[in-house]
Amino acid sequence: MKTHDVRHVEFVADSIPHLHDSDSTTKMMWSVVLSLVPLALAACWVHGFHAVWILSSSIGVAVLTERLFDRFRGNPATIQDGSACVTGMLLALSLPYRLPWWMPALGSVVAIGLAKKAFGGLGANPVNPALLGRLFLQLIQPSFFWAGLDSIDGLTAATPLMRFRIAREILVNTAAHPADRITDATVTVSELYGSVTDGFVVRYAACLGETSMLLLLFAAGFLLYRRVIGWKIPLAAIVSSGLLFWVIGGAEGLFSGNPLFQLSTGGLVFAVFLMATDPVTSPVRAKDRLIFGAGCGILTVIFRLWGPHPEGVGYAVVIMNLIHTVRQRRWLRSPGNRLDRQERMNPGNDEKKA
Amino acid sequence: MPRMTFRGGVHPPSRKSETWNLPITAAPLPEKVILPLEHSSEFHYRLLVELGDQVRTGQSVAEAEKPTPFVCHASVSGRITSIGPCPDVSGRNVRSITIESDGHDRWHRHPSPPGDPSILSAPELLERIRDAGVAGTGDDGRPAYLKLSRCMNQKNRIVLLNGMESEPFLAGEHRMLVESTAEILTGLRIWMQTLGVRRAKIAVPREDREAIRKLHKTLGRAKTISVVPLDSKYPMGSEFQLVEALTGLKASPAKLGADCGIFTETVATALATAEAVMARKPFVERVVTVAGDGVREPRNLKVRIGTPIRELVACCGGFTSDRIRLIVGGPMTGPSVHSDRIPVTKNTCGILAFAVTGLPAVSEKPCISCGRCWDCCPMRLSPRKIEHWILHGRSERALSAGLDACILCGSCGYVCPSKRKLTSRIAEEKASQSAKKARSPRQDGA
Repeated sequence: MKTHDVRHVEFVADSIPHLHDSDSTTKMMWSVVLSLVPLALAACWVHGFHAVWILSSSIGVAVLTERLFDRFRGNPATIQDGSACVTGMLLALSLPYRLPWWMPALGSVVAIGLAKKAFGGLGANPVNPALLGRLFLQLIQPSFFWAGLDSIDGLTAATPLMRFRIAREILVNTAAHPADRITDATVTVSELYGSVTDGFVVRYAACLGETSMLLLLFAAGFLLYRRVIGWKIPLAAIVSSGLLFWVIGGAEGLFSGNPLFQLSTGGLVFAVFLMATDPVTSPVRAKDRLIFGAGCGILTVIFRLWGPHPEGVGYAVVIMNLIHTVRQRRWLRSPGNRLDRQERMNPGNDEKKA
Repeated sequence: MPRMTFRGGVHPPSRKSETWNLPITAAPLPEKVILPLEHSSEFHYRLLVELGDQVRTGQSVAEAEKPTPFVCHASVSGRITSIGPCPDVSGRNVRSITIESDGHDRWHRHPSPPGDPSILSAPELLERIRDAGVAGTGDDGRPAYLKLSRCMNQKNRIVLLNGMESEPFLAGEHRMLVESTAEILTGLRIWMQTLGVRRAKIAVPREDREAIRKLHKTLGRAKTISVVPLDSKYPMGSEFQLVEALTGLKASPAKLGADCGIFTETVATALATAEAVMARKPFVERVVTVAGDGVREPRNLKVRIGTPIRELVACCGGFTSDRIRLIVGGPMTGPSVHSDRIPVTKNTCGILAFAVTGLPAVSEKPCISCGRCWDCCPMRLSPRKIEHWILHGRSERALSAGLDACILCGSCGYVCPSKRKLTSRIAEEKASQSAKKARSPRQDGA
């Protein structure tokens, strides 16, 4: 054994601490992807080529957009950190299986380009990119998202939420409707309430991410175990929306709602576990997280019961994202000492001094 | 009721197995020792010797009058070969005394015999501790008697012995607890005698069964000192967190435990106190763990203060690679240094060497505000907020976000999934702030 001569040793300095946790942002991103693979495979198995196309084009275009943005801005490539892949995957799973072929790709461009890269990339996006992509597509082609209004080639039935909404409107205002429609509505509601647990393992649902509640909860459990997502936001959102749906969401007056029905449809579980928990756009402190989650839940109830669309969790999360971003910017500006007018007008001066 | 733990903290792998069972061995006498005279920048020493003088081990070579009296002792006998700038741990050149050993280790005897310490009064004990140069061995190396006299002014006094050693790799305090149990308890009793306290607590890691058994055996039926096994969460060995765990008091750099009458010191200081009072032996040697995959034979060494790192590594079989990351202290808080000529000081608890292979793999990613740094911060700060202000060059806002309260434990830098250099940025900012304060002491109130 040769001992190195002390004189020839080169000393490499490093910053403290010299030990680092083995977990990393990249690992967190890829574990999100990994957790969603079973769900994506189930969607492909149920929906066939449609799902395969949506998943591959959405993920592919998301990664490509990220790469092109880095290329044209002269930044180092960031696609290997997995965040673009996560965005593409979340977007694909939040889309209905029947869409014009170009829509997933357009959604990805909006998600990565507009919501994420335009603000400075990972860590700087004000809202969840995948959610913004989905809401954009929903605005330009709404008919595909609540197919009950305009079913496509006769195959797609109205979503359960849409059917519930129409039935509830009739039941709430019984005076304005004939008796046979009221009977129909009552039957629809009881049928919907009865079918809550039917699609727990596999369901022929509208959105890819709703294919299997079991696999979705499995993914959420894995991410909770890996500490990629926290439990406070989903819990607060589910408890607040569940309580409100029970109290005011029913068709026959107060306390007649079925929270399980509302929770099992419309992507609520998917959104609160995988969209609302995005660390960049959600708060850090325990109390703020509970408020954030409760806000998502309450807004969802409001949008679903009185909004123009049957589902509302997407808008609820985006609004809470924006509220959080504004609060965040406030601490960036004033932790106890507000920027004076001079500084606000010439932000560059201060940096030069430092 | 104390909670026996503190908020936050991390669980780095302990990696102590290499040196855990190695008995403390005395390192051979160093060829030369380097004694820096500015270990914490506020001390200004007056030289008591001249270039070329012969000195004996334990003889005072310099003393500080301001801000408090303190003494620096020669740690070997020999000739003073240089008085001038030498690099210290921070990389700066500081005024230091270099003594070339004559190899005989002739000791300087204190003129008066130790006598019976149990009849000494508190001021006499304090004087002995001060004159022996006993310093805090875990933190910034301030004189131990300062902390003691601060506690004496308080009404309710508590004495805690810190045997936690929560940094990975280090095992020196564990070895001291096992091998010199009686002396450590003597040191603890001297503190209790000085402060007039009847009860004390010893905090040891729950896993350290050997030390707990030894302590119980040595304590016998004495009920005045209790052994408290604690979870070895990092940084339990930090004074603030230990005080929080054992007393419930949330101490911070602005409100030290000593200001509330809580005296906390480490095992190595207790040992030095016992020697200072019982035998009037100055603090000239301490136990240092040399470990890591960069040295051939990791060891727990008893070394003279001022021994250059290179001599310690040589007596551990040398480096294993020609590219080495050399750390003075523990892996969480110890800075890495560019040279192995740097001397061991009174607060050096370990020397760690790691072989560097290839390029550093750790690259910084943007903060995704996952909140883990905030979760683990034992001082309840938001490290990312402080880092944000430092990066934007707004020191005043970094200060209002709690820069001063940071104890630089390294938990945030350890846990960050984006591998951001949170701790080292905060450390740099703290250093530049204190340098600014030292330059203009009158303006810091403005």
